[in-house]
Amino acid sequence: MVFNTGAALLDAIVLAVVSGEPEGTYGYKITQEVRQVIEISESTLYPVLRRLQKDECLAVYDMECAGRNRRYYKVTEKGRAQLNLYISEWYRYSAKLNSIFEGGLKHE
Amino acid sequence: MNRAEFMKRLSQLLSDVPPAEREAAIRYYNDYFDDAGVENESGVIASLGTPEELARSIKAGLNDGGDAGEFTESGFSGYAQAHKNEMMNPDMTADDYYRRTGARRSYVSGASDAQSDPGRGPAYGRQKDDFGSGRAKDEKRMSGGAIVLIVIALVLTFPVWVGLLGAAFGLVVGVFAALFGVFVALFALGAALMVTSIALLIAGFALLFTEPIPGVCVIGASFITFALGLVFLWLMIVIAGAAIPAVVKLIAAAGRRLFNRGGARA
Repeated sequence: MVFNTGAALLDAIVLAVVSGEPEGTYGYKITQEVRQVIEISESTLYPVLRRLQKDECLAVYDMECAGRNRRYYKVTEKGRAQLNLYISEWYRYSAKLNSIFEGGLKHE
Repeated sequence: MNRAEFMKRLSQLLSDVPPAEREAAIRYYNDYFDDAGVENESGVIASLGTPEELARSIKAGLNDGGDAGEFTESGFSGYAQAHKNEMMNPDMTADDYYRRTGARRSYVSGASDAQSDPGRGPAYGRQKDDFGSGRAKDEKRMSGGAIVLIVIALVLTFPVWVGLLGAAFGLVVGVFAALFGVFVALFALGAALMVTSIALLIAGFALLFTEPIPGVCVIGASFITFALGLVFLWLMIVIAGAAIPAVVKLIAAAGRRLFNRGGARA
């Protein structure tokens, strides 16, 4: 991976992955999905999930699955608002970068 | 090292974190092993790194905006509370958010993938170690720095704003002085014309007896002079009664606008 993924971007990616599952999803699955797009170690996401949970962007609940209780993560209202903020900000940011990459900023 | 040994060591290493945090982390990684399946156990252990590394990343995460804030040698720092308020304020724009949380640390993707990229391992490891731990302190330093910056800016711009203040004061005094000057000039002119007209009147009457026609002319001139004097005195009264209050009102209004804007900015 050439580019670093900042804390805010990692938050955004995790929120986006979790919000893709209306019924909630669990740590291992989140990690695998994030790892499909960016290179992170398996230990990177726990602090992120824990912090998002404390910031009330994610809610956790336990659900019986295959004979054991599995901890699920679900996006809260606040998490959704935060994700929308990240997404709009990302579009703004990436559009600016694209305009530079595609031949420099137009001088006004 | 197998899963059981790994988790046991991790649990020992986390003995100094709050029980709730330790349980949450242990729970998470137990779930993680369960979900990865027995066949991936060694792969997961390899990817998680050593229990020591994992414990360090968990502990770093606890200081990273945890709800309890951060207990440091200088006492409790309420970063988390401020952080929460920011996130809950719906009116805040994204720019505000980033400006206020600009002190956030970067995660490095593949933070502990030292095995897959040995050349970069040490740098990544360092970043990982200090991620989070600096956040609360950075936030504090920023607000202190902002105050210092404002003071420095005020001191540096001292000649500018003192100059501007002086200029404004000078302008006000100047306008009043000019008005007063005009007032005095009109009064002097009016008074002089009156005195002249009286003198002409006396001279005209005196002349009337010896040379009647020039005498009448002089008396007429005295009347015209008297009328001109009245005009100037009237102008003087207009200035005193209307122009000066108007200017005072104007300056007061300008001052109030300046004040209000300053208040809104603060």
